Amino acid sequence: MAEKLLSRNWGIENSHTVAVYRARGGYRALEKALRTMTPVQIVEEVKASNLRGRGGAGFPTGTKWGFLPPPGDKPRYLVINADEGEPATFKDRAIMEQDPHMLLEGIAISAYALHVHRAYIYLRGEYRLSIERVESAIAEAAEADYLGDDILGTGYRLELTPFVGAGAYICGEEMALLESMEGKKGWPRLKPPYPAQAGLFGCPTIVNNVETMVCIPHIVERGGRWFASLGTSKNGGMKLYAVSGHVERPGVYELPMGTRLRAVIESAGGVRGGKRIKAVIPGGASSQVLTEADLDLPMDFTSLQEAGSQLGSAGIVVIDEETDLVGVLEGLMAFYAHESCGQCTPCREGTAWAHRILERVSRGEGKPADLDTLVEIADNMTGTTICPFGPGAAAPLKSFVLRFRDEFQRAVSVGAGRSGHGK
Amino acid sequence: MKIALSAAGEARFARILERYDEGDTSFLPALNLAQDEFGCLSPDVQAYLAGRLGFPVTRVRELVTFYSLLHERPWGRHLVLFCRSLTCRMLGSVDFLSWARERLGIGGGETTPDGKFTVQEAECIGACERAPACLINGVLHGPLDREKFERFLEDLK
Repeated sequence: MAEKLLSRNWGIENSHTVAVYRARGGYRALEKALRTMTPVQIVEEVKASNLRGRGGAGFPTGTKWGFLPPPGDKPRYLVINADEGEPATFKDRAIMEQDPHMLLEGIAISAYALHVHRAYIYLRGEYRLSIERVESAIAEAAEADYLGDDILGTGYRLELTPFVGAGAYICGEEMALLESMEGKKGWPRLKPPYPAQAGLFGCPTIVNNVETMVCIPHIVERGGRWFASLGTSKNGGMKLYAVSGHVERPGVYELPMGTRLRAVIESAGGVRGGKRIKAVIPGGASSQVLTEADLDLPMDFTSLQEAGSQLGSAGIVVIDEETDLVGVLEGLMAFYAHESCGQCTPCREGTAWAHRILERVSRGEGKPADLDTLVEIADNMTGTTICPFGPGAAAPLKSFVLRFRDEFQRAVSVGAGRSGHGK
Repeated sequence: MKIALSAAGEARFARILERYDEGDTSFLPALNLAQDEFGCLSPDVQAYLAGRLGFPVTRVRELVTFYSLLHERPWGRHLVLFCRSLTCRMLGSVDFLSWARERLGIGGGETTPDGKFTVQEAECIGACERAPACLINGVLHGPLDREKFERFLEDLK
Protein backbone atom coordinates (compact mmCIF):
# COMPACT_ATOMS: atom_id res chain seq x y z
CA MET A 1 0.00 0.00 0.00
CA ALA A 2 1.34 3.44 -0.91
CA GLU A 3 2.80 5.52 1.90
CA LYS A 4 0.38 8.07 3.33
CA LEU A 5 1.54 11.66 3.05
CA LEU A 6 -1.38 14.04 3.34
CA SER A 7 -3.20 12.00 5.98
CA ARG A 8 -0.16 10.56 7.74
CA ASN A 9 -1.04 12.14 11.08
CA TRP A 10 -4.75 11.42 11.05
CA GLY A 11 -5.98 9.20 13.86
CA ILE A 12 -3.05 10.11 16.10
CA GLU A 13 -4.12 11.64 19.40
CA ASN A 14 -3.78 15.43 19.35
CA SER A 15 -2.63 15.36 15.76
CA HIS A 16 -3.95 18.91 15.43
CA THR A 17 -1.39 20.30 17.91
CA VAL A 18 2.03 21.71 17.09
CA ALA A 19 3.75 19.35 19.53
CA VAL A 20 2.49 16.24 17.81
CA TYR A 21 2.97 17.71 14.33
CA ARG A 22 6.58 18.59 15.09
CA ALA A 23 7.30 15.25 16.77
CA ARG A 24 6.15 13.47 13.61
CA GLY A 25 8.46 15.48 11.35
CA GLY A 26 6.40 18.59 10.84
CA TYR A 27 7.84 21.98 9.89
CA ARG A 28 11.09 20.43 8.62
CA ALA A 29 10.05 21.31 5.09
CA LEU A 30 9.55 24.94 6.11
CA GLU A 31 13.07 24.96 7.58
CA LYS A 32 14.46 23.48 4.38
CA ALA A 33 12.54 25.95 2.21
CA LEU A 34 13.51 29.11 4.09
CA ARG A 35 17.11 28.16 4.84
CA THR A 36 18.23 26.36 1.69
CA MET A 37 15.92 27.22 -1.21
CA THR A 38 15.07 30.32 -3.18
CA PRO A 39 11.51 31.20 -4.11
CA VAL A 40 12.29 30.38 -7.76
CA GLN A 41 13.56 26.93 -6.80
CA ILE A 42 10.39 26.18 -4.88
CA VAL A 43 8.18 27.24 -7.79
CA GLU A 44 10.25 24.98 -10.07
CA GLU A 45 9.72 22.01 -7.76
CA VAL A 46 5.97 22.64 -7.70
CA LYS A 47 5.92 22.81 -11.50
CA ALA A 48 7.86 19.55 -11.72
CA SER A 49 5.48 17.89 -9.26
CA ASN A 50 2.49 17.98 -11.65
CA LEU A 51 0.42 19.13 -8.69
CA ARG A 52 -3.07 19.91 -9.96
CA GLY A 53 -5.28 22.27 -7.95
CA ARG A 54 -7.46 20.28 -5.60
CA GLY A 55 -10.40 22.67 -5.27
CA GLY A 56 -12.17 21.39 -8.35
CA ALA A 57 -10.63 22.91 -11.47
CA GLY A 58 -7.45 20.82 -11.44
CA PHE A 59 -5.38 23.64 -12.89
CA PRO A 60 -1.62 22.99 -12.59
CA THR A 61 -0.53 24.81 -9.44
CA GLY A 62 3.00 25.61 -10.63
CA THR A 63 1.59 27.20 -13.78
CA LYS A 64 -0.89 29.27 -11.75
CA TRP A 65 1.92 30.46 -9.48
CA GLY A 66 3.90 31.46 -12.57
CA PHE A 67 1.16 33.93 -13.55
CA LEU A 68 2.07 36.28 -10.71
CA PRO A 69 3.99 39.32 -11.92
CA PRO A 70 7.42 39.95 -10.37
CA PRO A 71 7.24 41.65 -6.97
CA GLY A 72 6.52 45.37 -7.42
CA ASP A 73 4.73 48.23 -5.71
CA LYS A 74 1.40 46.52 -5.08
CA PRO A 75 0.97 44.18 -2.14
CA ARG A 76 0.58 40.51 -3.06
CA TYR A 77 -1.77 38.03 -1.43
CA LEU A 78 -2.15 34.32 -0.92
CA VAL A 79 -5.74 33.37 -0.15
CA ILE A 80 -6.58 29.85 0.90
CA ASN A 81 -10.00 28.63 -0.15
CA ALA A 82 -11.35 26.66 2.80
CA ASP A 83 -14.97 27.27 1.81
CA GLU A 84 -15.52 23.60 0.97
CA GLY A 85 -19.14 23.50 -0.18
CA GLU A 86 -19.29 21.16 -3.17
CA PRO A 87 -21.82 18.46 -2.19
CA ALA A 88 -20.11 15.13 -1.51
CA THR A 89 -16.84 16.82 -0.53
CA PHE A 90 -15.41 16.70 2.98
CA LYS A 91 -11.65 16.17 2.54
CA ASP A 92 -10.68 19.73 3.45
CA ARG A 93 -12.73 19.46 6.62
CA ALA A 94 -10.78 16.32 7.51
CA ILE A 95 -7.47 18.12 6.92
CA MET A 96 -8.42 21.18 8.99
CA GLU A 97 -9.82 19.16 11.88
CA GLN A 98 -7.03 16.58 12.02
CA ASP A 99 -3.88 18.27 10.73
CA PRO A 100 -4.19 22.05 10.49
CA HIS A 101 -0.44 22.45 10.93
CA MET A 102 0.30 20.64 7.68
CA LEU A 103 -1.96 23.23 6.06
CA LEU A 104 -0.14 26.10 7.80
CA GLU A 105 3.26 24.73 6.81
CA GLY A 106 2.12 24.54 3.19
CA ILE A 107 0.83 28.11 3.38
CA ALA A 108 4.06 29.44 4.88
CA ILE A 109 6.23 27.74 2.25
CA SER A 110 3.95 28.92 -0.55
CA ALA A 111 3.92 32.50 0.72
CA TYR A 112 7.71 32.52 0.75
CA ALA A 113 7.81 31.10 -2.80
CA LEU A 114 5.39 33.81 -3.98
CA HIS A 115 6.94 36.77 -2.12
CA VAL A 116 3.74 37.16 -0.11
CA HIS A 117 3.68 38.64 3.37
CA ARG A 118 -0.08 38.75 3.95
CA ALA A 119 -2.26 35.66 3.60
CA TYR A 120 -5.86 34.92 4.40
CA ILE A 121 -7.74 31.68 4.85
CA TYR A 122 -11.43 31.90 3.95
CA LEU A 123 -13.20 29.39 6.16
CA ARG A 124 -16.69 28.10 5.66
CA GLY A 125 -18.96 29.45 8.42
CA GLU A 126 -20.57 26.05 9.03
CA TYR A 127 -17.19 24.39 9.73
CA ARG A 128 -17.05 25.32 13.41
CA LEU A 129 -14.51 22.71 14.54
CA SER A 130 -12.27 23.48 11.55
CA ILE A 131 -12.37 27.18 12.44
CA GLU A 132 -11.44 26.44 16.06
CA ARG A 133 -8.60 24.10 15.08
CA VAL A 134 -7.18 26.44 12.43
CA GLU A 135 -7.30 29.47 14.73
CA SER A 136 -5.66 27.50 17.50
CA ALA A 137 -3.00 26.20 15.12
CA ILE A 138 -2.28 29.75 13.90
CA ALA A 139 -1.74 30.86 17.49
CA GLU A 140 0.57 27.90 18.17
CA ALA A 141 2.49 28.50 14.94
CA ALA A 142 2.95 32.19 15.69
CA GLU A 143 4.19 31.29 19.17
CA ALA A 144 6.75 28.93 17.63
CA ASP A 145 7.85 31.45 14.98
CA TYR A 146 6.47 29.49 12.05
CA LEU A 147 4.40 32.61 11.35
CA GLY A 148 4.97 36.23 12.23
CA ASP A 149 7.58 38.93 11.76
CA ASP A 150 10.70 36.77 11.83
CA ILE A 151 9.93 33.20 10.81
CA LEU A 152 12.54 30.77 12.15
CA GLY A 153 14.87 33.72 12.63
CA THR A 154 15.28 34.07 8.85
CA GLY A 155 13.77 37.53 8.68
CA TYR A 156 10.90 36.32 6.50
CA ARG A 157 7.56 37.67 7.68
CA LEU A 158 4.06 36.41 7.06
CA GLU A 159 0.78 37.40 8.65
CA LEU A 160 -1.98 34.81 8.23
CA THR A 161 -5.52 35.93 9.03
CA PRO A 162 -8.54 33.62 9.18
CA PHE A 163 -11.68 34.99 7.56
CA VAL A 164 -15.00 33.31 8.33
CA GLY A 165 -17.75 33.09 5.71
CA ALA A 166 -21.47 33.25 6.40
CA GLY A 167 -23.13 30.52 4.39
CA ALA A 168 -22.98 30.78 0.61
CA TYR A 169 -21.82 27.97 -1.71
CA ILE A 170 -20.92 30.47 -4.42
CA CYS A 171 -18.25 31.97 -2.16
CA GLY A 172 -16.20 28.86 -2.82
CA GLU A 173 -15.73 30.21 -6.35
CA GLU A 174 -12.54 32.26 -6.16
CA MET A 175 -13.90 35.50 -7.63
CA ALA A 176 -16.95 35.43 -5.38
CA LEU A 177 -14.68 34.59 -2.44
CA LEU A 178 -12.65 37.74 -3.05
CA GLU A 179 -15.83 39.82 -3.30
CA SER A 180 -17.00 38.35 0.00
CA MET A 181 -13.69 39.22 1.66
CA GLU A 182 -14.10 42.76 0.39
CA GLY A 183 -17.36 43.10 2.31
CA LYS A 184 -19.81 42.43 -0.50
CA LYS A 185 -22.26 39.74 -1.53
CA GLY A 186 -20.60 36.88 -3.40
CA TRP A 187 -21.27 37.85 -7.00
CA PRO A 188 -18.36 36.43 -9.01
CA ARG A 189 -16.29 38.79 -11.08
CA LEU A 190 -15.63 38.01 -14.73
CA LYS A 191 -12.27 36.46 -15.62
CA PRO A 192 -10.02 37.82 -17.12
CA PRO A 193 -8.52 39.61 -15.34
CA TYR A 194 -7.42 36.63 -13.27
CA PRO A 195 -6.55 37.02 -9.59
CA ALA A 196 -2.82 36.84 -10.39
CA GLN A 197 -3.24 40.15 -12.20
CA ALA A 198 -6.07 41.70 -10.20
CA GLY A 199 -7.33 39.79 -7.19
CA LEU A 200 -7.89 40.90 -3.61
CA PHE A 201 -8.27 44.70 -3.62
CA GLY A 202 -7.21 44.54 -7.28
CA CYS A 203 -3.74 43.32 -6.26
CA PRO A 204 -1.82 40.23 -7.48
CA THR A 205 -3.35 37.27 -5.67
CA ILE A 206 -3.10 33.51 -5.74
CA VAL A 207 -6.09 31.52 -4.49
CA ASN A 208 -5.29 27.91 -3.60
CA ASN A 209 -7.30 25.07 -2.09
CA VAL A 210 -6.60 23.52 1.34
CA GLU A 211 -5.58 20.12 -0.05
CA THR A 212 -3.33 21.76 -2.62
CA MET A 213 -1.50 23.46 0.26
CA VAL A 214 -0.90 20.27 2.25
CA CYS A 215 0.89 18.79 -0.78
CA ILE A 216 3.50 21.58 -0.71
CA PRO A 217 5.61 20.48 2.31
CA HIS A 218 6.00 17.00 0.77
CA ILE A 219 7.05 18.44 -2.58
CA VAL A 220 9.68 20.56 -0.86
CA GLU A 221 10.87 17.76 1.37
CA ARG A 222 11.34 15.06 -1.27
CA GLY A 223 11.24 16.92 -4.56
CA GLY A 224 8.77 17.68 -7.31
CA ARG A 225 9.80 14.78 -9.55
CA TRP A 226 9.31 12.31 -6.72
CA PHE A 227 5.83 13.72 -6.04
CA ALA A 228 4.97 13.50 -9.74
CA SER A 229 6.08 9.85 -9.82
CA LEU A 230 3.48 8.85 -7.24
CA GLY A 231 0.63 9.63 -9.61
CA THR A 232 -0.06 9.36 -13.31
CA SER A 233 1.19 11.37 -16.24
CA LYS A 234 0.40 15.07 -15.70
CA ASN A 235 -1.35 14.29 -12.39
CA GLY A 236 1.14 14.06 -9.55
CA GLY A 237 1.09 12.92 -5.99
CA MET A 238 -1.24 11.25 -3.57
CA LYS A 239 -4.93 12.24 -3.59
CA LEU A 240 -7.64 12.46 -0.96
CA TYR A 241 -10.86 10.82 -2.16
CA ALA A 242 -14.01 11.50 -0.10
CA VAL A 243 -16.34 8.52 -0.56
CA SER A 244 -19.97 8.51 0.62
CA GLY A 245 -23.37 7.18 -0.33
CA HIS A 246 -24.14 3.48 -0.48
CA VAL A 247 -20.78 2.21 0.74
CA GLU A 248 -19.84 0.22 3.84
CA ARG A 249 -17.27 2.67 5.19
CA PRO A 250 -17.83 6.23 4.03
CA GLY A 251 -14.83 8.44 4.70
CA VAL A 252 -11.73 10.08 3.24
CA TYR A 253 -9.19 7.75 1.64
CA GLU A 254 -5.67 8.71 0.55
CA LEU A 255 -4.55 6.84 -2.55
CA PRO A 256 -2.19 7.50 -5.45
CA MET A 257 -3.57 9.94 -8.03
CA GLY A 258 -5.12 7.90 -10.81
CA THR A 259 -6.23 4.94 -8.71
CA ARG A 260 -9.08 3.26 -10.54
CA LEU A 261 -12.60 4.12 -9.36
CA ARG A 262 -13.37 0.49 -8.51
CA ALA A 263 -10.36 0.37 -6.17
CA VAL A 264 -11.31 3.66 -4.50
CA ILE A 265 -14.78 2.30 -3.82
CA GLU A 266 -13.29 -0.96 -2.51
CA SER A 267 -11.16 1.08 -0.07
CA ALA A 268 -14.44 2.36 1.36
CA GLY A 269 -15.65 -1.19 1.85
CA GLY A 270 -17.47 -1.51 -1.46
CA VAL A 271 -21.14 -1.03 -2.10
CA ARG A 272 -23.18 -1.79 1.01
CA GLY A 273 -25.77 -4.46 1.47
CA GLY A 274 -24.55 -6.52 -1.43
CA LYS A 275 -26.36 -4.30 -3.91
CA ARG A 276 -25.24 -3.41 -7.41
CA ILE A 277 -23.93 0.01 -8.32
CA LYS A 278 -26.23 1.95 -10.62
CA ALA A 279 -24.41 5.25 -10.77
CA VAL A 280 -21.34 6.99 -9.33
CA ILE A 281 -20.81 10.71 -9.00
CA PRO A 282 -17.01 11.03 -9.32
CA GLY A 283 -16.05 14.62 -8.57
CA GLY A 284 -18.59 16.31 -6.34
CA ALA A 285 -22.09 17.25 -7.44
CA SER A 286 -20.84 19.40 -10.34
CA SER A 287 -19.43 16.52 -12.32
CA GLN A 288 -20.86 14.29 -15.03
CA VAL A 289 -22.32 11.12 -13.51
CA LEU A 290 -20.71 7.79 -14.33
CA THR A 291 -22.32 4.41 -14.86
CA GLU A 292 -21.35 0.88 -13.80
CA ALA A 293 -19.41 0.62 -17.07
CA ASP A 294 -16.99 3.35 -15.94
CA LEU A 295 -15.63 1.69 -12.78
CA ASP A 296 -12.21 1.03 -14.32
CA LEU A 297 -11.52 4.69 -15.01
CA PRO A 298 -8.37 6.08 -13.40
CA MET A 299 -9.42 8.79 -10.97
CA ASP A 300 -7.27 11.65 -12.18
CA PHE A 301 -8.10 14.91 -13.93
CA THR A 302 -6.86 13.87 -17.37
CA SER A 303 -8.53 10.46 -17.57
CA LEU A 304 -11.90 11.66 -16.38
CA GLN A 305 -11.88 14.62 -18.73
CA GLU A 306 -11.12 12.28 -21.63
CA ALA A 307 -14.07 10.14 -20.52
CA GLY A 308 -16.47 13.09 -20.63
CA SER A 309 -16.53 13.70 -16.88
CA GLN A 310 -14.26 15.43 -14.37
CA LEU A 311 -12.37 14.68 -11.17
CA GLY A 312 -13.51 18.01 -9.71
CA SER A 313 -13.36 17.93 -5.92
CA ALA A 314 -13.03 14.11 -5.90
CA GLY A 315 -16.22 13.80 -3.88
CA ILE A 316 -17.42 10.32 -4.81
CA VAL A 317 -21.03 9.27 -4.26
CA VAL A 318 -21.92 5.63 -4.83
CA ILE A 319 -25.56 5.16 -5.82
CA ASP A 320 -27.10 1.69 -5.71
CA GLU A 321 -29.56 -0.03 -8.02
CA GLU A 322 -32.59 0.70 -5.82
CA THR A 323 -32.20 4.46 -5.91
CA ASP A 324 -34.61 6.71 -7.76
CA LEU A 325 -32.32 8.85 -9.91
CA VAL A 326 -35.07 11.34 -10.72
CA GLY A 327 -35.22 12.11 -7.01
CA VAL A 328 -31.43 12.44 -6.83
CA LEU A 329 -31.37 14.88 -9.75
CA GLU A 330 -34.32 16.82 -8.35
CA GLY A 331 -32.42 17.21 -5.08
CA LEU A 332 -29.31 18.36 -6.96
CA MET A 333 -31.23 20.97 -8.92
CA ALA A 334 -32.88 22.18 -5.71
CA PHE A 335 -29.35 22.80 -4.46
CA TYR A 336 -28.28 24.73 -7.54
CA ALA A 337 -31.50 26.73 -7.71
CA HIS A 338 -31.05 27.73 -4.08
CA GLU A 339 -27.36 28.54 -4.33
CA SER A 340 -27.39 30.40 -7.65
CA CYS A 341 -26.21 33.89 -6.85
CA GLY A 342 -28.65 35.30 -9.41
CA GLN A 343 -26.23 37.43 -11.37
CA CYS A 344 -26.55 35.66 -14.74
CA THR A 345 -29.91 35.04 -16.36
CA PRO A 346 -29.21 31.59 -17.90
CA CYS A 347 -28.16 30.19 -14.50
CA ARG A 348 -30.66 32.00 -12.30
CA GLU A 349 -33.61 31.12 -14.51
CA GLY A 350 -32.26 27.80 -15.76
CA THR A 351 -31.61 26.21 -12.39
CA ALA A 352 -35.01 27.24 -11.04
CA TRP A 353 -36.79 26.07 -14.19
CA ALA A 354 -34.99 22.71 -14.26
CA HIS A 355 -35.86 22.18 -10.61
CA ARG A 356 -39.54 22.94 -11.20
CA ILE A 357 -39.62 20.47 -14.09
CA LEU A 358 -37.99 17.73 -12.02
CA GLU A 359 -40.38 18.37 -9.12
CA ARG A 360 -43.26 17.95 -11.53
CA VAL A 361 -41.75 14.74 -12.97
CA SER A 362 -41.23 13.41 -9.44
CA ARG A 363 -44.91 13.96 -8.74
CA GLY A 364 -45.77 11.84 -11.77
CA GLU A 365 -46.79 14.83 -13.90
CA GLY A 366 -43.95 14.63 -16.41
CA LYS A 367 -44.30 15.22 -20.14
CA PRO A 368 -42.19 13.56 -22.87
CA ALA A 369 -40.84 16.94 -23.99
CA ASP A 370 -39.44 17.53 -20.48
CA LEU A 371 -36.24 15.58 -21.10
CA ASP A 372 -35.29 17.58 -24.17
CA THR A 373 -36.12 20.78 -22.28
CA LEU A 374 -33.82 19.77 -19.41
CA VAL A 375 -30.94 19.09 -21.81
CA GLU A 376 -31.56 22.39 -23.56
CA ILE A 377 -31.56 24.25 -20.24
CA ALA A 378 -28.22 22.62 -19.43
CA ASP A 379 -26.73 23.66 -22.76
CA ASN A 380 -28.00 27.20 -22.29
CA MET A 381 -26.17 27.49 -18.96
CA THR A 382 -22.84 26.44 -20.46
CA GLY A 383 -20.52 29.07 -21.89
CA THR A 384 -23.03 31.81 -21.19
CA THR A 385 -22.26 32.67 -17.58
CA ILE A 386 -19.74 34.75 -15.67
CA CYS A 387 -18.57 31.85 -13.50
CA PRO A 388 -18.36 28.03 -13.60
CA PHE A 389 -21.50 27.59 -11.47
CA GLY A 390 -23.62 27.47 -14.65
CA PRO A 391 -21.63 24.64 -16.28
CA GLY A 392 -21.37 23.02 -12.85
CA ALA A 393 -25.15 22.72 -12.60
CA ALA A 394 -25.37 21.71 -16.25
CA ALA A 395 -23.00 18.76 -15.76
CA PRO A 396 -25.26 16.57 -13.61
CA LEU A 397 -28.43 17.89 -15.25
CA LYS A 398 -27.42 16.80 -18.72
CA SER A 399 -25.47 13.66 -17.83
CA PHE A 400 -28.11 12.09 -15.58
CA VAL A 401 -30.82 12.58 -18.21
CA LEU A 402 -28.72 11.34 -21.14
CA ARG A 403 -26.85 8.47 -19.44
CA PHE A 404 -29.96 7.13 -17.69
CA ARG A 405 -32.34 7.93 -20.48
CA ASP A 406 -34.50 4.83 -19.95
CA GLU A 407 -35.17 5.61 -16.31
CA PHE A 408 -36.00 9.25 -17.02
CA GLN A 409 -38.13 8.24 -20.03
CA ARG A 410 -40.16 5.94 -17.80
CA ALA A 411 -40.51 8.68 -15.21
CA VAL A 412 -42.05 11.17 -17.65
CA SER A 413 -44.31 8.55 -19.21
CA VAL A 414 -45.62 6.81 -16.13
CA GLY A 415 -48.26 8.65 -14.14
CA ALA A 416 -47.87 6.98 -10.73
CA GLY A 417 -46.94 9.11 -7.72
CA ARG A 418 -43.28 8.99 -6.70
CA SER A 419 -41.73 10.11 -3.45
CA GLY A 420 -38.90 11.83 -5.25
CA HIS A 421 -36.39 10.79 -2.63
CA GLY A 422 -33.91 7.97 -2.95
CA LYS A 423 -33.81 5.13 -0.45
CA MET B 1 -34.54 51.09 21.98
CA LYS B 2 -30.99 52.29 21.63
CA ILE B 3 -28.62 49.76 20.11
CA ALA B 4 -25.23 49.57 21.82
CA LEU B 5 -22.54 46.91 22.10
CA SER B 6 -21.64 45.58 25.52
CA ALA B 7 -18.17 46.33 26.90
CA ALA B 8 -17.01 42.90 25.76
CA GLY B 9 -18.64 43.54 22.39
CA GLU B 10 -16.77 46.81 22.02
CA ALA B 11 -13.51 45.03 22.78
CA ARG B 12 -14.27 42.41 20.14
CA PHE B 13 -15.22 45.13 17.67
CA ALA B 14 -11.92 46.91 18.27
CA ARG B 15 -10.02 43.65 17.69
CA ILE B 16 -11.93 43.10 14.46
CA LEU B 17 -10.94 46.52 13.14
CA GLU B 18 -7.35 45.78 14.14
CA ARG B 19 -7.19 42.31 12.65
CA TYR B 20 -9.14 43.10 9.47
CA ASP B 21 -7.37 46.34 8.68
CA GLU B 22 -7.29 46.08 4.89
CA GLY B 23 -10.06 47.36 2.64
CA ASP B 24 -13.51 46.45 3.91
CA THR B 25 -12.50 43.02 5.19
CA SER B 26 -13.85 44.02 8.61
CA PHE B 27 -17.37 44.30 7.26
CA LEU B 28 -18.54 40.68 7.35
CA PRO B 29 -16.75 39.92 10.66
CA ALA B 30 -18.48 42.98 12.17
CA LEU B 31 -21.87 41.69 11.07
CA ASN B 32 -21.12 38.30 12.58
CA LEU B 33 -20.16 39.97 15.85
CA ALA B 34 -23.33 42.06 15.90
CA GLN B 35 -25.47 39.00 15.24
CA ASP B 36 -23.75 37.25 18.14
CA GLU B 37 -24.39 40.19 20.44
CA PHE B 38 -27.93 41.11 19.47
CA GLY B 39 -29.27 37.71 18.42
CA CYS B 40 -30.23 38.83 14.95
CA LEU B 41 -29.53 41.60 12.46
CA SER B 42 -32.83 43.43 12.82
CA PRO B 43 -33.44 46.65 10.85
CA ASP B 44 -32.39 48.64 13.95
CA VAL B 45 -29.14 46.70 14.24
CA GLN B 46 -28.55 47.09 10.51
CA ALA B 47 -28.92 50.86 10.83
CA TYR B 48 -26.58 50.86 13.83
CA LEU B 49 -23.92 48.90 11.94
CA ALA B 50 -24.22 51.14 8.90
CA GLY B 51 -23.52 54.10 11.15
CA ARG B 52 -20.57 52.45 12.93
CA LEU B 53 -18.98 51.19 9.73
CA GLY B 54 -19.71 54.30 7.69
CA PHE B 55 -21.78 52.70 4.96
CA PRO B 56 -25.28 53.13 3.56
CA VAL B 57 -27.67 50.71 5.24
CA THR B 58 -28.25 49.06 1.85
CA ARG B 59 -24.71 47.67 2.03
CA VAL B 60 -25.57 45.96 5.31
CA ARG B 61 -28.87 44.72 3.92
CA GLU B 62 -27.06 43.33 0.88
CA LEU B 63 -25.10 41.01 3.13
CA VAL B 64 -27.95 40.10 5.47
CA THR B 65 -30.16 39.02 2.57
CA PHE B 66 -27.38 37.19 0.71
CA TYR B 67 -25.70 35.03 3.36
CA SER B 68 -27.74 32.17 4.82
CA LEU B 69 -26.14 32.33 8.28
CA LEU B 70 -27.11 36.00 8.70
CA HIS B 71 -30.72 36.61 9.66
CA GLU B 72 -32.96 39.58 10.19
CA ARG B 73 -35.52 37.87 12.41
CA PRO B 74 -34.80 36.16 15.70
CA TRP B 75 -34.15 32.45 15.71
CA GLY B 76 -34.76 30.03 18.58
CA ARG B 77 -32.19 29.50 21.32
CA HIS B 78 -31.00 26.35 19.59
CA LEU B 79 -30.39 26.14 15.86
CA VAL B 80 -30.78 22.75 14.20
CA LEU B 81 -29.67 22.58 10.57
CA PHE B 82 -30.49 19.38 8.69
CA CYS B 83 -28.48 18.82 5.55
CA ARG B 84 -30.81 18.19 2.64
CA SER B 85 -28.25 17.61 -0.14
CA LEU B 86 -27.14 14.62 -2.18
CA THR B 87 -25.81 11.91 0.16
CA CYS B 88 -27.78 12.98 3.22
CA ARG B 89 -30.91 13.19 1.10
CA MET B 90 -30.22 9.72 -0.36
CA LEU B 91 -29.88 8.37 3.18
CA GLY B 92 -33.19 9.83 4.36
CA SER B 93 -32.45 13.29 5.77
CA VAL B 94 -35.53 14.97 4.32
CA ASP B 95 -37.90 12.40 5.85
CA PHE B 96 -35.98 12.71 9.12
CA LEU B 97 -36.42 16.47 9.01
CA SER B 98 -40.20 16.10 8.56
CA TRP B 99 -40.31 13.79 11.57
CA ALA B 100 -38.17 16.18 13.63
CA ARG B 101 -40.41 19.14 12.85
CA GLU B 102 -43.46 17.17 13.93
CA ARG B 103 -41.70 15.89 17.04
CA LEU B 104 -40.74 19.46 18.02
CA GLY B 105 -44.19 20.84 17.29
CA ILE B 106 -43.05 23.19 14.58
CA GLY B 107 -45.90 24.11 12.30
CA GLY B 108 -45.46 25.88 9.01
CA GLY B 109 -42.60 28.07 10.16
CA GLU B 110 -39.18 27.24 11.52
CA THR B 111 -39.29 27.91 15.25
CA THR B 112 -41.07 26.15 18.12
CA PRO B 113 -43.80 28.21 19.82
CA ASP B 114 -41.70 28.43 23.01
CA GLY B 115 -38.76 29.89 21.06
CA LYS B 116 -36.46 27.04 22.03
CA PHE B 117 -35.66 25.46 18.66
CA THR B 118 -35.29 26.70 15.14
CA VAL B 119 -35.12 23.91 12.58
CA GLN B 120 -33.96 24.57 9.06
CA GLU B 121 -32.83 22.76 5.98
CA ALA B 122 -29.25 23.46 5.00
CA GLU B 123 -27.38 22.67 1.82
CA CYS B 124 -24.42 20.28 2.00
CA ILE B 125 -22.64 20.79 5.32
CA GLY B 126 -19.63 18.73 4.26
CA ALA B 127 -20.33 15.77 6.53
CA CYS B 128 -21.36 13.20 3.92
CA GLU B 129 -19.48 10.39 5.66
CA ARG B 130 -21.88 10.84 8.58
CA ALA B 131 -25.06 11.07 6.53
CA PRO B 132 -27.78 11.81 7.40
CA ALA B 133 -26.16 14.63 9.32
CA CYS B 134 -27.17 17.81 11.09
CA LEU B 135 -25.60 20.74 12.93
CA ILE B 136 -26.98 21.51 16.37
CA ASN B 137 -25.67 24.91 17.44
CA GLY B 138 -22.77 24.44 15.07
CA VAL B 139 -21.81 21.01 16.38
CA LEU B 140 -21.93 18.15 13.90
CA HIS B 141 -24.11 15.11 14.61
CA GLY B 142 -24.53 12.03 12.45
CA PRO B 143 -25.44 9.46 11.30
CA LEU B 144 -28.73 10.47 12.86
CA ASP B 145 -31.42 8.19 14.16
CA ARG B 146 -34.48 9.07 16.19
CA GLU B 147 -33.09 7.73 19.46
CA LYS B 148 -29.86 9.72 19.19
CA PHE B 149 -31.77 12.83 18.18
CA GLU B 150 -34.05 12.51 21.24
CA ARG B 151 -30.94 12.33 23.46
CA PHE B 152 -29.49 15.50 21.95
CA LEU B 153 -32.75 17.32 22.55
CA GLU B 154 -32.77 16.24 26.19
CA ASP B 155 -29.28 17.69 26.67
CA LEU B 156 -30.34 21.12 25.47
CA LYS B 157 -31.85 23.62 27.88
